[in-house]
Amino acid sequence: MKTLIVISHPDIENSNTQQFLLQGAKHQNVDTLHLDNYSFNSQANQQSDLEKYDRIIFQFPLYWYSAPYSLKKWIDEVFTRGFVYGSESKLIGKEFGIVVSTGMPEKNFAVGGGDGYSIDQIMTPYYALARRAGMQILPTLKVFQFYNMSEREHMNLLVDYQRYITQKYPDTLENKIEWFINQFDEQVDEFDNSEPVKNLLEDLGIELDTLKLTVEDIKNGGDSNE
Amino acid sequence: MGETLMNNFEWVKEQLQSSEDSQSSYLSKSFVVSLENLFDDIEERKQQYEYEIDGKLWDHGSW
Repeated sequence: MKTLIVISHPDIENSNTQQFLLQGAKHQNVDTLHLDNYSFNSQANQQSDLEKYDRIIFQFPLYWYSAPYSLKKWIDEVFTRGFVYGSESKLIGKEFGIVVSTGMPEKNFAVGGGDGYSIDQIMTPYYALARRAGMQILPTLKVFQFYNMSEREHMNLLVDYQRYITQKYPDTLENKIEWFINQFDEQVDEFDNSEPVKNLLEDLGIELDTLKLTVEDIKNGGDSNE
Repeated sequence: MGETLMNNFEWVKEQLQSSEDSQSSYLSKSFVVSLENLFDDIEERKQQYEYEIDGKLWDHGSW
């Protein structure tokens, strides 16, 4: 699977959140496109580049309940008639995700919260765009108050982010196990002598599959004692 | 976690903590933290399946 992360941030060098996420992305086989440092050469080139990817992610901080202007500009220039509508969309079937960060607490975006709307409600225009383009919409990865997180929360965020950009969708336990097993192979230099743990993970995955099939068999009228 | 699982997991953590490269060890430690959560999730799912197979839910007509 090939992933492109389209990043909109006017001051990315001074963004702790974005620099943190970029470090996570660096160790995954993904491409990043930082719109604010990007010279738009041609619409055709940009569109043909997008067609190469299986998963396209918009990544940005929440600025006044939307993305920074560079993303809006890029969308207006690239998502045109003939590319995503007017004829069959060139992005049909591709996966669309959002990674959005905010300095506000999560409770502000809950029912009855101070901001009045949930993050998903605020992201609706992007979901509508992806839907119009025939893309499969992934759940949005939300990052609330990065600076307030504990070290353990940062560590969990790092791996959750890596999984978000490269793990097979949906985020089932089975797909999660497969992703971790693949990470052992890809980070072989980091995990010397971790073969026993990788093998155990594979065995546990098989055990879960077997148990799941047994449960399904019971539900379908089979007898578990046969 | 079962004893074998714990032994393997502790062993991996020890290997990773010995890493001298600060950047790679942070990524590796993050991986280990998430791996620990994964083992907890797996154990919880196993128990759920085993409970269902044992028939306790069926006996109480909870389906």
